[in-house]
Amino acid sequence: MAIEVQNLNVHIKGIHILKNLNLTIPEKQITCVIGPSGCGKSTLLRTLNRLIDSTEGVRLEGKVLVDGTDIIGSGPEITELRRKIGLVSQRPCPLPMSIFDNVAYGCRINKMYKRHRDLENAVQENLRAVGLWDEVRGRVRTPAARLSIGQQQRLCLARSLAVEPQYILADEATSALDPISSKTVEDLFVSLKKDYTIIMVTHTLRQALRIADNVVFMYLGEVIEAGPAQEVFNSPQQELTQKYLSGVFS
Amino acid sequence: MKISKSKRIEEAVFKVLMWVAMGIVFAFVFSVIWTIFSRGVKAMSWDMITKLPGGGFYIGKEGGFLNAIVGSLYIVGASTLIGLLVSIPVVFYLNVYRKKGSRLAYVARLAFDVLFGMPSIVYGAFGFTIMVYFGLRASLLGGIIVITLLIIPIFIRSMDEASRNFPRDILDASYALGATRWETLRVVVRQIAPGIATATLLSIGRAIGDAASVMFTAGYTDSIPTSLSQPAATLPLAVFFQLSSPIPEVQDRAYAAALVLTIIVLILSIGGRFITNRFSKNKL
Repeated sequence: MAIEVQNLNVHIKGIHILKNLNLTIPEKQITCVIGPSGCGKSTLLRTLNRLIDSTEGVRLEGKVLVDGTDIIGSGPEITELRRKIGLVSQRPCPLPMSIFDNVAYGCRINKMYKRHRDLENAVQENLRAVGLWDEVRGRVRTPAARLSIGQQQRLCLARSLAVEPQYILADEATSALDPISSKTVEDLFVSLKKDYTIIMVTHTLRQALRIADNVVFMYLGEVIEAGPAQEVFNSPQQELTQKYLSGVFS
Repeated sequence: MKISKSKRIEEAVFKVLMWVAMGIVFAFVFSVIWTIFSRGVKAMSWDMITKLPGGGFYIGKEGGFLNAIVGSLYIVGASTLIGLLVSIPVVFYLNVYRKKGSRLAYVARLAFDVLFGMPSIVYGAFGFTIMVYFGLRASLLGGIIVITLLIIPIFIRSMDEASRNFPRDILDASYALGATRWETLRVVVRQIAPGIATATLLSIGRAIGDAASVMFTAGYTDSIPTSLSQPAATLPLAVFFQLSSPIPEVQDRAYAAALVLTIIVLILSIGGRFITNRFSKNKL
């Protein structure tokens, strides 16, 4: 098992955000986390790569095992952990530099390549992987901020892939995109799951239906139901899950 | 579309008011520039900016105010550099290391606001007291220290403004790639580079034009200082002293000094704009 969450509790400024979470996230599959706004989906994601550390007044309890190592408490070097777990956020956020430098940034800070030639190849390869290379090949030295939103989101994905992570966290990665870009990014995730373990927070049930192998349904900071997508969608065990899936609340 | 008469009158009145206000501002700017140019150009010559004051310069004999130009550049250059070195870490600390809503950051910002608003003569008096305490004379070093103190709040406040609108997502994006805070800082610098440039220009403008703070701390001399402990002349004081003279030729030289001051500031502003534009091309 790739990621295992055991009795995870997260408090922020005394408010209990995540309540006794227990989860296993299987390797090389897409796990979708669904649930209404404010149920703790994003907090869960931010805990997995410890980005939550920059939130004020946060307290973590329990265990999160990534490849068998507990990342709560002292755990491994935090930069190592984050390198292993890529993040694609809701709104694309290119760094204030050129397209090339955006992808090269992670490689550079992690000192992955000695020769510039290798770095160039890696950048090209990752831009290809997200289908952006052909669109930007002539202008990789121009500012990333000039790309369209959909392109920026794919660039962010390429940037994450460039540091060779094993996991990808996506926080509503398609919600700010137009339908066509959204479809492109979604297809990308499906094609990436053969190499990566993907954990995706999504607001659109239909998206979860289309691409999820596993589903985690959260409500008010608790995991209500989790399991293979077919089972959760077709025969939900909990009443809350049934109601949510049938659109009684959202 | 039909507009009622009263509305039309209202609009006309406001239009006239805006025109008048604009006119006053423009007239003001042009008359300042005109005065400086017309009187300054009369006394302006190659000698003025390449020679030191000769004997009897201040009663209209030959020489120039190179001492003041060089003194001003020394003081402003050094204090801008030191000011930047001190302010940038402070701004980063407030915006990146402290979490949002930090009490310390609040108190620090308040303190810088107070310092920002303090008149320069107060800085001068403060610097003078300190120097007397340590037994220092008016010197280049004293001028540099006081001007540095004077511009640090300007640096910090204007860079702080620029970094507060900074999208925090960038921080997360950088951290998520495994960057440390130090590595992330370099990304922050790229984003706020235009802010830093603007802050530097504002600070230089204030530093080069201030007379009150350097009067007692840097002093005035007819030669170019060769060590930090020697007094240094500055352009604003060159204007001040020559303008107090009853001799018209000497007064004109004050305007020539003012002209040089204005041109330096103008060059810096235009150069700064140019650099800012180049830097901000990657900005989000």
